[in-house]
Amino acid sequence: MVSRYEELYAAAITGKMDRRQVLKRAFALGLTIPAISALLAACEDDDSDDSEAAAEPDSDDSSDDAEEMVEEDDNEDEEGEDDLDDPDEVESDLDVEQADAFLEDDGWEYEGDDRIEGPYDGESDTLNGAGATFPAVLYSRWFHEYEQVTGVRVNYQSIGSGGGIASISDGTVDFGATDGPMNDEQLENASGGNIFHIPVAMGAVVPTYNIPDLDIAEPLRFTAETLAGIYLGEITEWNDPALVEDNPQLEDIDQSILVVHRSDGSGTTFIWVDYLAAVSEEWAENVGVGTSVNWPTGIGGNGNEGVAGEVVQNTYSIGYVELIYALQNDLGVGEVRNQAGNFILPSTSSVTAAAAAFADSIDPQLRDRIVNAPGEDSFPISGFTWLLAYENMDDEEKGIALTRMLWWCVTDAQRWNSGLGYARVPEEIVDLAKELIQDIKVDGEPIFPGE
Amino acid sequence: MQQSAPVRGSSRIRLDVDAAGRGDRIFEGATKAGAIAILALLAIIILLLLFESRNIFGHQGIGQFLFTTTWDPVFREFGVFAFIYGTVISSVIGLLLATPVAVGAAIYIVEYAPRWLRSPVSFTVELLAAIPSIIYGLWAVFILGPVMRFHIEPFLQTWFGPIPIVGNLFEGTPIGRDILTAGVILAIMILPTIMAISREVIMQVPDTQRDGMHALGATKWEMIQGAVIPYARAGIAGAAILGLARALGETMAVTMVIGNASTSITGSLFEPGYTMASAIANQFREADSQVYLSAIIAIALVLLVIAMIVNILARILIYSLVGKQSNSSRIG
Repeated sequence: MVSRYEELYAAAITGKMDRRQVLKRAFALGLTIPAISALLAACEDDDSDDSEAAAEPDSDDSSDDAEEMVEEDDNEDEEGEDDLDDPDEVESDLDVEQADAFLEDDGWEYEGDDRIEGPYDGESDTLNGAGATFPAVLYSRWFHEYEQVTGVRVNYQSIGSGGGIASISDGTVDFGATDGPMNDEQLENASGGNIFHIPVAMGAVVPTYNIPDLDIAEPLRFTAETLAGIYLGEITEWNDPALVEDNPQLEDIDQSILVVHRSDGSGTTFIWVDYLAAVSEEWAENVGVGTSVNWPTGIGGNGNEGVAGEVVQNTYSIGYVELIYALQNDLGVGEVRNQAGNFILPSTSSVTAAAAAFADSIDPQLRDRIVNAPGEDSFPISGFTWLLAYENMDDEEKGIALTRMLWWCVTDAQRWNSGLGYARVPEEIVDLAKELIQDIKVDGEPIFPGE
Repeated sequence: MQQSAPVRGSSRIRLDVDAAGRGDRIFEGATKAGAIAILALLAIIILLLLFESRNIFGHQGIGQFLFTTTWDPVFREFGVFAFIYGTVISSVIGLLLATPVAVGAAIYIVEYAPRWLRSPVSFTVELLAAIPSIIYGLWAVFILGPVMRFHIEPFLQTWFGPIPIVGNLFEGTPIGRDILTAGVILAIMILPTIMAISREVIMQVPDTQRDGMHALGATKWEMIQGAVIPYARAGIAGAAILGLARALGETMAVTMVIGNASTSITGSLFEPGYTMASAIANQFREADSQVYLSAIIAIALVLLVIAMIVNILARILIYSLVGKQSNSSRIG
């Protein structure tokens, strides 16, 4: 399939096929939307008399980009086919290839002596959970591994953070999952009393843009002021003095900015606007923070792929996507200045650094948001994703199974995070999370069987 | 109960009638149950929407909900007017673009096309109706959007922009993610519906009507104008209304190209918009408070009411058209 893709790409870039033919072939090959976008950009490149030459200077890059995506497609295909025969082998296969392709796998292992190993007498053999879509890839990997370790089967439905909160509130699942912490109103409405937030992974939201005149290897530098200004509709030109100050290369880009945001409610939006609200009073007062907000400007795309698609298609645009999505698809991302004044390129380690910087001041309930973190190396637009569990449970078997699973998630399971594009929860926060897990009770007695 | 009614006649026949009568009643009961179930379903849907949306009308007035354009989940202000506007305008654009083409195609197929061509053309057009809307959406994103942005919209702006009033429709920077693009994709999607029904209706026009016009010395165009179109008028109107109904509820394809932004209503067709169906699809999943959720369900209620109003208007339109015609016409 790689070779067919390359053929198609070559045909597109040399003008042997026109847009329509390319598109037809692309659909037939079952390429992903970003891959098709890259192809179409290559076609546009060819009719150079048009102003639409989206991918002109970085054609090299977009070819890499597209190849990688095809490799990714391959992975998925293989996974699908082989899954029937030998799931284990595929899993490890996938891990290696993905790590090779674009992600840092740092060989981290959990070293504590309080690991979860083997099955435990008297624990329930299934757990049901539902919620956030952002960590779904990580969770499906985790729960597959967890069944190997303990024999407990964990069913997870990625129905969205709102759905996860609703499900745990109704008590229809054993645990929920969310990208945005539950607010006080939601906590009060929960049918089974207090709910604990257990942070299990971290993500970041990154600005991505499409300016064909610029060298992609030299990322744009954004500050809190410029990002808030752009999304408030106050900075409307790429050569606005505020942007040029940090990015001299923008001086000649006399183009208006097309702002792209999410159209669907999303934890990604939550982290993004949480950051904007933290750094801009005007944003906090007029727009506020939520999974969807009343955007002052711009157009909406559905999902990360929708936003990325709009940015790839529309020159001189800016959008925001999850870090993992940007990494996997090799999108051009900008650096963002943190509180300490350093411009930080987003990565899983700069996200973990952001959480670690909060370790001393974080609320022990761990519901705090961590945008605009202090610290030299912190990427400022970061957030936790949480598993949600009731403080007081009534089923002993479920209680044992759930607390053991949660414990495993914040300890051993963390080693899969960075390989899949999620940041690890820093040790300081894990210690606090363990205290919460030990606080989960059945009939008023702590239920976690560890020490 | 009525088995032994004497009016049934001789005993032997009565037996047969009884047997048949029982089957009849069972059949009647079954059909009646079906009819009632449909009515009940509609009633349940409406009641459920009313019940689930009650929170929003306790939270703010119905007037504010219907006639303001601020949709702000964070500060709990919910006004759907921009969504209604986007839905209605994009659907009307779709209808205005699709109807002439669809009716023209239908007339061509019935009146002009050689017999061997009719089936392939009809089949192809109807095949369009079978394409899932996500496919239309993808096509619109990758092909239609750029074409609108770089060719059609600048063209419209150049030629119609300077004209007062009309020019307002074409203000702003063309980005290909706007109400006009949504209208065009809707037009393509409702074309087969309108075409197929119009064709059936035109085929129902009795040949005696055509022969009569020809006998009077009419040309083909005069025959179509004088006999076919007046006869089929009500049916064509019905076809257009069915198309409009589909356009009002269309979600996926429109969501992908309309821009999903509703900051203000400027009157320009080049502004990103938002439809009611898109708002529901986009926001339902992550609605994180009772009021927010019930506001979204209230959008569904408004959409249902608007669809019903359109249908009622359509009925009135069709009755008025039929009324003007000779009594022999029962089409529509």
